[in-house]
Amino acid sequence: MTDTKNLPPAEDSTLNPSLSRRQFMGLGLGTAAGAALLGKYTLLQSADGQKTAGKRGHYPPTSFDREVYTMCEMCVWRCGVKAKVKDNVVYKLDGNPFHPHSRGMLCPRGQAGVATLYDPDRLKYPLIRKGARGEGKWVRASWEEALDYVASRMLEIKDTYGPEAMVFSTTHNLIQTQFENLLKAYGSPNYGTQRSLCFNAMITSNLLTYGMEEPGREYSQVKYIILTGRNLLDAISNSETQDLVAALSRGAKLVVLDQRFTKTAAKADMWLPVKPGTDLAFYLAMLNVIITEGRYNERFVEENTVGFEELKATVQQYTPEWAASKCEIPAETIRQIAREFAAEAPHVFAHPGWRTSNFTNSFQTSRAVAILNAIVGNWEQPGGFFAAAGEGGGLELGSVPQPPYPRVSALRLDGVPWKYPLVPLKLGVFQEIRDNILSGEPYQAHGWFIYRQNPVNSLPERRKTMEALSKLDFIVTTDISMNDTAWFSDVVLPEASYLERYDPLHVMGNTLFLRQPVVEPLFESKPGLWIFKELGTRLGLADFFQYEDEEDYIRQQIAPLDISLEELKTRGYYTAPTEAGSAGAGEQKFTFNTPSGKIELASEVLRNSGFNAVPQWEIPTLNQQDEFYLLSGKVAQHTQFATHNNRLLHERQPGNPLWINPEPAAQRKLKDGDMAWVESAGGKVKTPVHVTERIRPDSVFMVPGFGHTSKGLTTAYGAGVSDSDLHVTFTDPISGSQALSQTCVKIYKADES
Amino acid sequence: MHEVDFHWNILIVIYLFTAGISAGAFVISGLATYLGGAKYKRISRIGALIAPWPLVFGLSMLMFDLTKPLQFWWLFLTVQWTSPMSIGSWLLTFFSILSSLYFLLWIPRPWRDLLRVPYRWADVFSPRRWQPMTREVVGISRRVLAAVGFPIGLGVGMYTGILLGAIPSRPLWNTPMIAQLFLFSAMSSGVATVLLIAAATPPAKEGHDHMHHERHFLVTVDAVLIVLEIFIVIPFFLHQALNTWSSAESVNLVLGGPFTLPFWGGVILLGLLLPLAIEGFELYPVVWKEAAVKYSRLWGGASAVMVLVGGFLLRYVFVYAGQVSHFLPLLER
Amino acid sequence: MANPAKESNTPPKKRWGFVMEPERCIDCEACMVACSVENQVPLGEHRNWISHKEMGIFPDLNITFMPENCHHCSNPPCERVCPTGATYRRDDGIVLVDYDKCIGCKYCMMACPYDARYVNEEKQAVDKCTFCVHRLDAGLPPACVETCVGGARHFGDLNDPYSEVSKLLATHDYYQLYEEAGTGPAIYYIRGK
Repeated sequence: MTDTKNLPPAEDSTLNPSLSRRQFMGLGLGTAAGAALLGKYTLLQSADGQKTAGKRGHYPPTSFDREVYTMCEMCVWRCGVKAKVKDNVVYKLDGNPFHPHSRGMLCPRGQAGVATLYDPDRLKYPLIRKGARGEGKWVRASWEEALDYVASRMLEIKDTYGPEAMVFSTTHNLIQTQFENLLKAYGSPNYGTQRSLCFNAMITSNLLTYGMEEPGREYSQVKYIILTGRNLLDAISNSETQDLVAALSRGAKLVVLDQRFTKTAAKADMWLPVKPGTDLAFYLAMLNVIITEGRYNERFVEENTVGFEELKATVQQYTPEWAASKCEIPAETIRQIAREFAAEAPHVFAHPGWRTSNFTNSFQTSRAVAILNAIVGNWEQPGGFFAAAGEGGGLELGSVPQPPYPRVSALRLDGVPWKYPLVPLKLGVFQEIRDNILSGEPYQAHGWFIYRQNPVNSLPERRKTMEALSKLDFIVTTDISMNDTAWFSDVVLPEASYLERYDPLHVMGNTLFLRQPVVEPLFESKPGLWIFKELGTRLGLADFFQYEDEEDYIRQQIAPLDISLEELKTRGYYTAPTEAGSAGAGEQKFTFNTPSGKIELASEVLRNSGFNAVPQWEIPTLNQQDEFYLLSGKVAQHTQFATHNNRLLHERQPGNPLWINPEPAAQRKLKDGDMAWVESAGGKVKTPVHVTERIRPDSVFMVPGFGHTSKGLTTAYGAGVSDSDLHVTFTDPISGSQALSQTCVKIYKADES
Repeated sequence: MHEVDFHWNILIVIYLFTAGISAGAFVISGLATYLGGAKYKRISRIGALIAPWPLVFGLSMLMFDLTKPLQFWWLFLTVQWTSPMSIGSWLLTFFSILSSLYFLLWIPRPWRDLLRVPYRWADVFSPRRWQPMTREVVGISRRVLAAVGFPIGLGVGMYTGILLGAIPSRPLWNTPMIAQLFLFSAMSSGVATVLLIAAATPPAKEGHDHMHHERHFLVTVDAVLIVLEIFIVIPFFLHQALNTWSSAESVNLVLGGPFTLPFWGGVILLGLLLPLAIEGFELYPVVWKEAAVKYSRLWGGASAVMVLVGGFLLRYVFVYAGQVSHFLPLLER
Repeated sequence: MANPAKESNTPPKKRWGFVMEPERCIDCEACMVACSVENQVPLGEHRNWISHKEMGIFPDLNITFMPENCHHCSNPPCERVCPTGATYRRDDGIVLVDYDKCIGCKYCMMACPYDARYVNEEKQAVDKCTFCVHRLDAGLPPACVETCVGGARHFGDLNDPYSEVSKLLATHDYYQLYEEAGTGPAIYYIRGK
């Protein structure tokens, strides 16, 4: 243990939101920054705002000391950001007009980035747990002490139980490669990502169909769009959302399948409130109509796909009338959409989606969507699908030298591939790791390194997650604020926020983008690249981290390119000169990264693993008479579990009342704003209801990410409830995807307060 | 109900109410001075002694309501002709000065004699040669001030209504009749205050007859004001209800909404109908039997309190309901 | 007497204004957050907003989103009622508050039919949208316009026939809010399909 004698008392070293002005000065921040962070009302206050009594003194500045081009990390879309800095305070973030993901605009989360940077709940220095787990008693530690301690515990686990007893997990981010470097060098096969909680089904189906994770969509000439499980106007992906609105404004037709009348549905030409879990029936019927009526692209199917005959034979049975009885969309509507879709082809697409209503049959739904796109021949057509940038090829970066990784022989705790043979190794099945920590099978895990992730809130069945944490000897969490998992950890390492650090470069096709520090890290927070190197060195893995510092890492990355780091920093991006295009115009032959080299309408890989080679109807779980499907989805103002403590975003979206249709609400005597109990096999929560016509009577909806239990998040603590308290773990055997909508809940009125 | 933050709160209600009392007390005092002279002297005096104080109290409330209370003087660096509040501020200033002087003139002797005035131009700068005012000087001064202050008092009463009425975006307020309604209610509140104090302080010496004259005068004036108010309230609501949709919706707040009880129970029944009934009962012998007015301190005091409560609630209902009333958003049409 | 020939030589005055396309508004509220950050608006207050109206019953529904902020009226009721002259109108149509002159009587808040004003406790004055006048004066569009993800907010000189806003108005059917209040608002809404 560290020596705690010379450290301030524990109370003082917890995350104290009311940091005094003097402490700020002590940390070397200017008055402006102090005022900025401490302002009772505002996030920022111009340094001279109050002093200059003149009229202009009341207006924000328009000239800045510097404008820094970097990248947003309020979600994972990675928009370009132009940060405006004066007196070392970030005043405003604008969208970088030169970045293809932002085009000069930022969504509300991107705009609110300053409130994440200047969150009064930012972690200030490394903390080591003093009291019981979750008690909130911490001792302030130096980085030296904290890293020594973490390294010693990790080595202890490695020596005693083997490296596989240490689980590593993180969320989609630019530094993921270095995180993976750490865990591979350490020798653990146990790696959890968020993907099985998100869109494993879609990615796996596209890998098996197109040989790529997610085909890109071309909006500039699209005439007909079907969205399933992609609520683009609530779940904003900046540039794609811009594209969709522009396409609609131009007159493109939009069909939306969703149980809720989302903002996307509000802009659609046709909203189909499909019965949960039955999107597959709709798509099978679409295939049926297009194939039996001969509306598919014969030439494209012949030249670029395999398994069409098998598909044709299989979908014969799925008539629109059959589908109507399953998915509650009238047969005539399905026929009409199929005909319109085929008529506008190839300038059409059915969006791959992130997740549909997400049942264990969602993999087959995604397969059917992929196949529908393939047979109308929209591949590489204006307004159709294309191989998205980053899907192979692109700019070649230099790499940091390192020795080969140690060989791993232990089974993976997430069941890949021994239980889930088709789940790609890099995606994994996160919820299975948690279940196997709990069961101790096939072996017992003892430690968990959690990087910028919050499994306590994100994994289904929070109860189980808490139990799993309690079985571990050592938990270390790295984040910029005290997230719920950090609250239950043994060591918490404060990371620099995205506006204070470098990350490895982001390559999109021929262009690379830089995330660079806009201001110095606040307090003692440190960039991830520094943390991994320092920790790696202490673990005896220094050879895997052969860079001096972050800038050196980037320099090694751009070594083969014709640009210096200084140049890159001024612009924030670099585009390599392109060589002449290889594919001749009008050429219709494509190669796909599948076993057959073609789009696989029928997949031998699936057949060989004992699954249906072409999509077939799978009956989803049906709700009982008095039960509702618990739906999940996004809002434009929050990202997953990470933004709820951002005061600007909290202000916009402070809670997550349960959406319920007026009809079942009336049966339960629930009025808008009343409190209700929501109960599933996983647990129960009490929440206000939002009575709205915008949802099917058999479903309820709750925005995820709320219900934070960490008292270190003073804004988010106590706001809303967490659906992880309700979700039951159901894993799709093919893709490993958590079936988020398969949980059914009972609702009854609760007493007030 | 349309969600509103009430930016004007109870402080404004108090201000509008007390300004009305001041104006009403001054006006009834002046009226009594001109119409009755010695007969209504007590009324004149009570009115004059009351007049400045409610306003002073109300203005301090208004100051507290300002975001920058200590910078109220900005009001007096400018005249904004289109702003009722600017004009009103000046009006209130003049009224405060006049009513204070008027107050001084009505201080009973011997205290009044402490107040000395120069009688010759030469003495203006030699305060030691100043003399107490003679009876004639006081009498003339009172009549002059009453005459000058009378229209200003009416103006103040009316201003409390115009302040609200000049705002097109609040359909409940934006009607020409609100000025009259507030004016008569202000006068009535002032009279009621005088009535209440007159009832609470019966003179020791003066005879029964005198009291009856006084009573007769006040009750008559108040009854007339109440009737006028009723004749404004009825067309007011008819007009609003038959006006644009926004107007009709705005009176719904009062006729069948959150403000129904304070309005019908408080303003109409308690503030107008019940006092009118009591006053009718008091005046009944005068009108029908040529007998003296029925006089009871209890009933008189009760009706005065009812009028005051009604007057307060009228302002409460209008200030609050008015802030709820709004143009109907396009989307609601 | 004024010389008409001479007057025609002077360029027409600017009239800044908004043209909103509710059909393109996705209610993401990026405009609100951008404004809060740009103008350091106290938490809990806002200078721009989006009103919604839900209509219909399941499954026949309709929602409209209306982005809004101060309408910078030609005949601003807030300016008219201000007792100290703190609210004033610039030549280019922008209605501003002189924060030093404002005593916070809130009469302007009563007078505004759009509920565009709030009390800024920090400035100790009533505050509202300024059309980002500090940015305009520096040649930049308002922060809300710059970041509007749906492209629903358009801003420009209504008096310039070649501006984006004028062209939109020339080619679309439009309406304004509470014209009946005689305010002469400078925000136009493009009527939907």
